[in-house]
Amino acid sequence: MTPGGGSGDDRGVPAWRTELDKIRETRSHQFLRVSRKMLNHLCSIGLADAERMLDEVDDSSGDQSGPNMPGPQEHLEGSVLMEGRPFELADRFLGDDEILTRLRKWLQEDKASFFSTVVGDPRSTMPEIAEAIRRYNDVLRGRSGLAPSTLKSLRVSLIQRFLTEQLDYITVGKEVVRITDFHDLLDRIIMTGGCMGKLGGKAAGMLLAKWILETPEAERRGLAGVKTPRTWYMASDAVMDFIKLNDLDDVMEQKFKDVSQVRREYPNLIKLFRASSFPSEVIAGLTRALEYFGEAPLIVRSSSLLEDRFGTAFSGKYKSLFVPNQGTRAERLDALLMAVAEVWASTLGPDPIEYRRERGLQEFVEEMGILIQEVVGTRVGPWYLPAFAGVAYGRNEFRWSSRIQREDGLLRLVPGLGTRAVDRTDDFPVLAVPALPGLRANQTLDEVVRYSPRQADVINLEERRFETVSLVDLLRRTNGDYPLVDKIFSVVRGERTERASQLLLDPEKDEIVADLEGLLADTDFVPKAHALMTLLEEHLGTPVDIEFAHDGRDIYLLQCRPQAVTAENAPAVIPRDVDDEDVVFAARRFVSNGWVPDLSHVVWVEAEAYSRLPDAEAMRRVGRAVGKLNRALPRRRFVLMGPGRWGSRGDIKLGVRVTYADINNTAMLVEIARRQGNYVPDLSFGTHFFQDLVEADIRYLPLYPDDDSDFAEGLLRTAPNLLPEMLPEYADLAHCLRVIDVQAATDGRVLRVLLNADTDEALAMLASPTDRPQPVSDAPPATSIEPRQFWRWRFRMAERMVRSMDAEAHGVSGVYLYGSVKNGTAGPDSDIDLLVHMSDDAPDRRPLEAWFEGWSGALAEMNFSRTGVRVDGMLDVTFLTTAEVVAGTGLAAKIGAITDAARPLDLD
Amino acid sequence: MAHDTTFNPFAMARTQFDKIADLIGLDPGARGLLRSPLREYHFSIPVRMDDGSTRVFQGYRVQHNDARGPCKGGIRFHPQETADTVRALSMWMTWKCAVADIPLGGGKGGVICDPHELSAREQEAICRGWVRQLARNIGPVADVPAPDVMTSPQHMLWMMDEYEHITGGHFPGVITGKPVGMGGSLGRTEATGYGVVYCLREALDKQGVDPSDTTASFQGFGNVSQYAIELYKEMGGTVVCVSSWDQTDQTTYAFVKTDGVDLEQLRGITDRFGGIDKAKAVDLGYEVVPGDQWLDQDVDILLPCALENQITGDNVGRIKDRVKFIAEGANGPTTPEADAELEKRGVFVIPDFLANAGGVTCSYFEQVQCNTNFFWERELVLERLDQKMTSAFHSISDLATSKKLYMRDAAYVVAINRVAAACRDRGWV
Repeated sequence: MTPGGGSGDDRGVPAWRTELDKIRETRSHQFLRVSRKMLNHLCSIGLADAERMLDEVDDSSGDQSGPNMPGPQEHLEGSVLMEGRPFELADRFLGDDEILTRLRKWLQEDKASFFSTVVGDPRSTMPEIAEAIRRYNDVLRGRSGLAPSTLKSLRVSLIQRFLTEQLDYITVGKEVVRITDFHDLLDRIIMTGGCMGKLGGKAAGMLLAKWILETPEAERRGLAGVKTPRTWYMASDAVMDFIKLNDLDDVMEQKFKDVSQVRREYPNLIKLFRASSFPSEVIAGLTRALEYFGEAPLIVRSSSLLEDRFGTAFSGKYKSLFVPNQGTRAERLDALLMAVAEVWASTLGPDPIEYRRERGLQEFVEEMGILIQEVVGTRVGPWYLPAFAGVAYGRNEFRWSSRIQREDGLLRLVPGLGTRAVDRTDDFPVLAVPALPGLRANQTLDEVVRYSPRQADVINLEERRFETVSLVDLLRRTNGDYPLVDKIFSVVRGERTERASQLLLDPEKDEIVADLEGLLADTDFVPKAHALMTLLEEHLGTPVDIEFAHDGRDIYLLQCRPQAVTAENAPAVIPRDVDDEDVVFAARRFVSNGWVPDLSHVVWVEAEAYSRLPDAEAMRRVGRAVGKLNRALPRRRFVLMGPGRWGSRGDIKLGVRVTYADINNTAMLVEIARRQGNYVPDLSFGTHFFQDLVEADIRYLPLYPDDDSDFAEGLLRTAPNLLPEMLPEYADLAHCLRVIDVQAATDGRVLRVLLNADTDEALAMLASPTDRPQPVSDAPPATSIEPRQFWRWRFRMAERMVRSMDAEAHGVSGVYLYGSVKNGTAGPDSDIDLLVHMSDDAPDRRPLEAWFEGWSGALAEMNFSRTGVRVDGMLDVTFLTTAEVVAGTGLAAKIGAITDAARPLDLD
Repeated sequence: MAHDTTFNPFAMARTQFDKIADLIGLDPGARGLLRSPLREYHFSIPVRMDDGSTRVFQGYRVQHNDARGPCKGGIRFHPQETADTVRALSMWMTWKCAVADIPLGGGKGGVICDPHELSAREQEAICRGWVRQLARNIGPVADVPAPDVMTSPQHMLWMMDEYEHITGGHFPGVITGKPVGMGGSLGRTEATGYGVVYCLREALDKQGVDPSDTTASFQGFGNVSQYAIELYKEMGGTVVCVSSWDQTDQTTYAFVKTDGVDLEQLRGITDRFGGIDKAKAVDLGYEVVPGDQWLDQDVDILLPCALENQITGDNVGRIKDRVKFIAEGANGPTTPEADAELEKRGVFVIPDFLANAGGVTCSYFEQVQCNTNFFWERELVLERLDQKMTSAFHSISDLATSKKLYMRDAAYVVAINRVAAACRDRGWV
């Protein structure tokens, strides 16, 4: 209760009347508004006098508006309200205390209304809004005087102005954000004078997650300790000021140029940006940011308005740069400015421009906000790194056991910076399932050692750079002084592992594996990650993917966004109108989302015939034949289908015995579980080489033809079997091992496998190769991972080159094309594989070799301007003698081969 | 089973047994007894899973024969185990122990499960459940399990602990394959590789060949191979070729150095899987050639120490005439067709279940040490291993010489004869 109450001062005048009089004298509009509010209140409690007074007010203004006509302007001076008659009436019916309380509340509301005005006005600049928030905070001193509905509308306005206009986001955000949160944010936003920008998608996602983590609900679920890194923000239109200041307007036209031109100009553009001057507000802001961060290493991340929108995955298209942030203040500021310039320039890089063009987002004015985050980590020797970091996905697309449901999620964990968990490298991350903390993808000691991370990404503080180091070297150089060493590392002792102990670890002698077993088994990390994913998913209404890091003390959430629907894992539309005869198989269990290229070949081990093979040796020969087919068939263009468990080392009857080397070129591995007697055998889910499959993106699918899967063997049985011709030494296995050239057997059609994990359905159908499958999401498929037309120009150039060759002078009898260009599967770094048949009387080969070398270099240059991928040379030329061609050994076997034959090129 | 023609490991093991039984004219009683396991246990193991539900796992133990001593054999965690596979494996264990002349019989067992699907806690529950069902039928003087497919020393320790809980004493000899310090034996890492070369040494001696005059080519560079090379070089031999698996290229390479490989140098550039760093090997002066060329080397001795079915009818012809000895460090590296050819050429083959019996012999030592609660120094373990292997080799090679038998057949004859004799001596048949 406010002191003084309603009893007023010494003379007996109620306090409310004193305050009211003061208002009437100085702020007539405000007086009018509180008068009106009092009248409304009196009406609402049912006072007849008040009703009459209200009528009087309305009459005096006169309701002269027609249905289609506006009423006249109102004149309130001298009216009932201005005379303060509602308060006189109140004095008769209400106590002084009540009147005073109400008056003060309305006055507070009224004071706050300027805030709504500023925030709601689309013409307000960010500094104006910032000022309003500061004043609002001062005026109310933290006590909200606004009605809940007003507050909500203010929160919506603030989200729209600072973060995003996306409705999905606003719906969630308005429930969890507090206006004071924006106040906290303001001191850490760098903005220029007339700033109308926003903070961008990545910042918005992070802030939303942070706010969700600050809800009581998060605390109830034990997530109170999850932190977010200290962050500064730069508004998205600062880049425009930068462009204006330096007269760089013409760079905005980059996005309309040909991609190869963009790529050529990009390095110069970066130089140009780095050499330009920065608006003084930006320099001042970054200077303040550096004071705030001290010498902590930083990461400068793009936060584009397009990035991380619900449903759009722009991940990795723009730059994120690590800034070691060491040295004098001037050096550190300079390094930070250069990083900002480079991130800004990355908007105009070839990849984002191409990506936007594909999605029809080209015209969108690309302003980019910037996030400057403290890198979560700790110093270890000369390095700075988190104990571990990783990514978590709400949906698991790689399950190694039937116990794992898609909704159980997936964790990819690595020691050091999380870059190695996000990207696929030649190393392996540690996998875990948030909902099933006890399960391990690797069980035997060999599996654990083979599939544990060997390297870590770190910041070298002394050299001031980002680098990748071997974990063993790191531990040796620091004598095992690593944060959470017992949680991250195990030591191999005999046939098993033990947790590394800080005290006893001897990095020089011990065999150390970074299996993270201590973290997974001895801490609540995995259950906590699950709780976090669940909480975020509940709030956002969609599965999320997050990045996180642990500095040895706390876990930090680094990024949060809806789980990216990339073409790699977009659910495909399963057509319902496919002719039965076009369906090869259909599965309804354990289906992952995933993208399988159109398949040209099927390798099928027929279960019945396989089980009838006379002995184990015959079965082993099937495995060897599969290994040979794996090397002979076009890479990632064939599917391997077989009974039971691929790669099983148990009873050979239960599956074809292969190693990863025997299957590593397949696009997809299918295990068929046929009912045997009264039980259906367990499948392996690829456990024998599970992590190899994951990192190589080879899809896995189990089929249960006796239960809920369809498997139409017709085509596979009737189509010609290429095995006897391809591998004559294995011709006797033709009854159980069938190799089908789908295109040859179906008049040029291919086998298309559509996977949809949302409905748990997969369909393999015959389709013509031109019509591409459509993913469910609005976003067109990311062509970057499809075999784009890389092969097409290579093919054209190969033809042109060969025609321009003086074949006769060089003694060339024929030139053949084979490999990825011929098969239409070339990637941006593929070379052009040629076989050159030299006549027996060919002259010295050196001039011809030099000629090819020249072409090779020129084509490599051309490839760079088209793709940005640098290769040493583009041609892989093998010279063959007539004897070799006749014998058909080695590569010469490709000439006139049964399948995947080399293609002759015309000699002019 | 659905088809008679189906490949059945137990049928195959019986065929092999019958062949030898015919050869030695085994009486019908002994033949009948040895063709089948003495005892089989099949039981259910209920396990409370992490999610609160209960799953029932099928456990089993086959005790093929214990006439010569307690059964010995691994415990397998395999999702698709069949009774006949386990029967066959238990029979092979009987012969293996007999050929090494250690006082143990043959057994095999396991649980139908895939550890990839199970948490550590669930696996512990399975291990303890297995022992609870079988505690009365196993034990340090009855049946001694060991690690096998997908089971580890950790599983063995859980089982030992459960057994000791039930019996109320310390009986580390109930199970082998335990870590050193928890009842494991020193010298186990070296045992198999050393055992191969103990046999080879005796074979060379028998033929009057000085080891320091010999050269050898090894397939594989894993545990067995590395220790075999170590001992062979100590004897003065020269290793000119070693093949190894290359994980990056997903293929094998052979590393050739005609003046002899330097073991320590190679170990320095090798990962724990026996994968040799190709580039570094080239720098060190090794010639790197396709992996299958380990077989083509012009050497005196071949030691296949990697995989099964490596010397086949297709490639046996590539073996140089100079090759006079083959010591099988791996299991089943030679196919029957290749075997026939080698026999014809008079190559001295030390068959796998003799050559690599160092492993099971060391398991026996572990059991002995546990039962006496007295643990030996490494040197003593290896010394006794040498004695055992040497004596086992001679009893077989003597028979091979006197009866003009191929070494592999001689080994089977000795093994089966020993077991049959024990059964007769006990008055069983």
